[in-house]
Amino acid sequence: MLNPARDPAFGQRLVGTLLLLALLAPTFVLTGFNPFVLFHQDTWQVWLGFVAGFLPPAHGTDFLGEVLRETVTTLASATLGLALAVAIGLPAALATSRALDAARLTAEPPSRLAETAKSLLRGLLVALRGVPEIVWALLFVRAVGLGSLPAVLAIGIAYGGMLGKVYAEILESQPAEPARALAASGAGRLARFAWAALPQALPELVSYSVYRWECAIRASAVMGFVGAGGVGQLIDTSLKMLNGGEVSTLLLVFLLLVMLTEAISQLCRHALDSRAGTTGIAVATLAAVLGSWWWLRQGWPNDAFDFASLGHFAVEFFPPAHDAALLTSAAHGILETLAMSLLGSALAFVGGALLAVPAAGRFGATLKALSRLLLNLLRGVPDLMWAALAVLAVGLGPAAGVLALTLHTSGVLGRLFAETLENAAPEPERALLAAGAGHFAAFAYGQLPQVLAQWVAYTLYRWENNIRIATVLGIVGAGGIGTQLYLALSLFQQTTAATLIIAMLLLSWAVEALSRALRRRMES
Amino acid sequence: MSLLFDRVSLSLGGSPVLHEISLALADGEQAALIGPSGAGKTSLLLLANTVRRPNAGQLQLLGQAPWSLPGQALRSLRRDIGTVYQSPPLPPRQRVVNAVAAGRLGSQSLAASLAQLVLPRDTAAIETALTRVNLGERLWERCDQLSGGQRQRVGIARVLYQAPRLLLADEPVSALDPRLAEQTVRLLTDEARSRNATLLMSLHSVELALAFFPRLIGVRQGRVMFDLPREAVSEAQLAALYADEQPNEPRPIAEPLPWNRPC
Repeated sequence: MLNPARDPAFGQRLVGTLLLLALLAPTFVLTGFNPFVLFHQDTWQVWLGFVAGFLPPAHGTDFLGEVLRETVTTLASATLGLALAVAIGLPAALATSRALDAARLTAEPPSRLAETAKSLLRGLLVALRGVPEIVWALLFVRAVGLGSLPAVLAIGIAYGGMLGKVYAEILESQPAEPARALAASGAGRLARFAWAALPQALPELVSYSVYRWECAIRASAVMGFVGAGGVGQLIDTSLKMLNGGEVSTLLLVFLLLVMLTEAISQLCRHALDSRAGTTGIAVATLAAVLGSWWWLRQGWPNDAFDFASLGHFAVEFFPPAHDAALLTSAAHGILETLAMSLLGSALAFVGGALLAVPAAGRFGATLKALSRLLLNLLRGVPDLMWAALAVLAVGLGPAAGVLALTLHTSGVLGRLFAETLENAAPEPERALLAAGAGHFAAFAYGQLPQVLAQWVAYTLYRWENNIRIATVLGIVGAGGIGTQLYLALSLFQQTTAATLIIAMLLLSWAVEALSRALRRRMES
Repeated sequence: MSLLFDRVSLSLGGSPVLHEISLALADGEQAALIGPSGAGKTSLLLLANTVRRPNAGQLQLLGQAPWSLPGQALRSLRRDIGTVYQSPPLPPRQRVVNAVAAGRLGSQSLAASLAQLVLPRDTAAIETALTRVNLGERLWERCDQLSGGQRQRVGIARVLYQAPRLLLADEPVSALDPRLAEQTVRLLTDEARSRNATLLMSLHSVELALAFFPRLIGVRQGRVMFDLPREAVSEAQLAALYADEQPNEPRPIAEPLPWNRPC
């Protein structure tokens, strides 16, 4: 008895499905992504030839020495960059956090001048973190030359904007009474910070900074793609020379690095519980920052830092170009970026789901271990590195970007999906199996309804993230608005670059505002 | 014989739960399983629906030994065994129509089952099953929009829709008020009688068991204490069965399955 007209949800579902298809179909056209290319013989030959070259990993003494040097540089750039970020973020938070405002703590009338200054500072922080760190690195490479200095500056500035905001929020989430008591007895802003807010918030501030340090190491490892030193530089060279053995050594080193930082950050969080541990962290941090400075300083230009030339370079970006041809091509770049992110996220939903099922242990321990390993690999290699690899496989252009986003996001989503599967109640499925249902049908009726909504929510969240990532994949030739930016900067068209950076900023704000509005609507 | 236990024992996590249970139910027979909480009633039913496998003893269901069957034959045996669970095993966000349709997954191809999720078919029969538990108009709602008692009745509708030859029910009315409980037990016994299906139901309430079942099986501490026609069950035997239990206090829900979050 086929009677779909009676299903009250049928119309809504049909419209939803058609809408999704209508959104997805053009993304294939816009990105030129042809899934069948992946199954094409030539693609496989290139990949297999390349991957076959992975073995054995390169292990010549000279090469390993170079890898060691660049690994230390990567770590040092991340550490010094984060130190700079803290130096920017902490004072900014001190100045802007509402938790320290006398007007909020006591009945003191607010000063209009101070409020305006704070708003301006907040706006500046938004701009600092709105431009992705790799774009900052690209700009600084143009301004101060190749090497690790641009990486340090890029991480410092982008993360400074982020830390300024998050530190301020952490201070605001603490109980207000201690600061209020101090304010009432006439203590100034700095005193309220040092004696009331800081002691309360310190563990959280440190733990967030450590997390950011982890992120900084991942970021610093790919800065080499724009000439800002570190292991990324070696990977870039080895990729361009199709030297698989070197690439595999570097990827292994990179994964080890990521695991090492995760272990260190775990250790830091534990150490915070004791007084001796806290002192230990302080000493280790100081030593790491000074050591990084000493290591990197050798590679930097010897003459005094030329602020004037940096100023000149900045001035060249104004006024941003706004001719119609540029605006049209920027709009197209944005559209391409959106298409890449949407298609990449949609395909990653499928990939993540396919990997999550074995990773949740449904096909035995061997497949579970294997699929977890694959998920960790997909997730551990940064998107920009996947993009560089994808360009080899499918050529320059947005199709490579789609492939890179799909691979990396499949790893991220697969792990999350596997967790939801493991947390889902087993009884519904067990009951269906006991009533004679096949394994797949029992999964579809017993497990899937429990996890599907969560899977969609995770995917939407990742999509938001992927839009931001898609804007920069063009730097390694994987399409989107980043391609145009890279080109403009290579041709010294600073005013064009300025327009494209503004377009990126607007896109990132629009996405953030939209997702905040959507989330608020979903919560209410 | 629809159900035959020959000295069946079960241990869970190393601790013995059932000791040498011997039990036989003829085709079309109806029996109630009674006993204090923790006696092993749920475990016994989970052996009878092949969710658990006995550690020792012989077990036959609908004339077949389930644990010596190849996979495909076990599946076709299972489609003739229907279970009403104490906590209905329904995913919260699933729609009632699919929750009931899931009763026949065993007798459908995979393609048909998946198509069913997109385009519900056979809705008239599903609605009939729901109407019998007074939920006819909730067909298109989601399970988490229903109360606990309503969800339990959805679980019953699923088994009605499955139409099994061996019907097992584990405290199927524990979440229902007394009037609805009586109505539901009557529904299940009538259903089994009209299709000549065999029915084994564990019950919390001795009164309901005496009122609706010709045969009572008393279980205590993993052993069968008595297995008698209802006329032969004495007050003394019932007292011994429930000894040490405070009858006036609401008993804890018997052997709760790990499934105790909301539907």
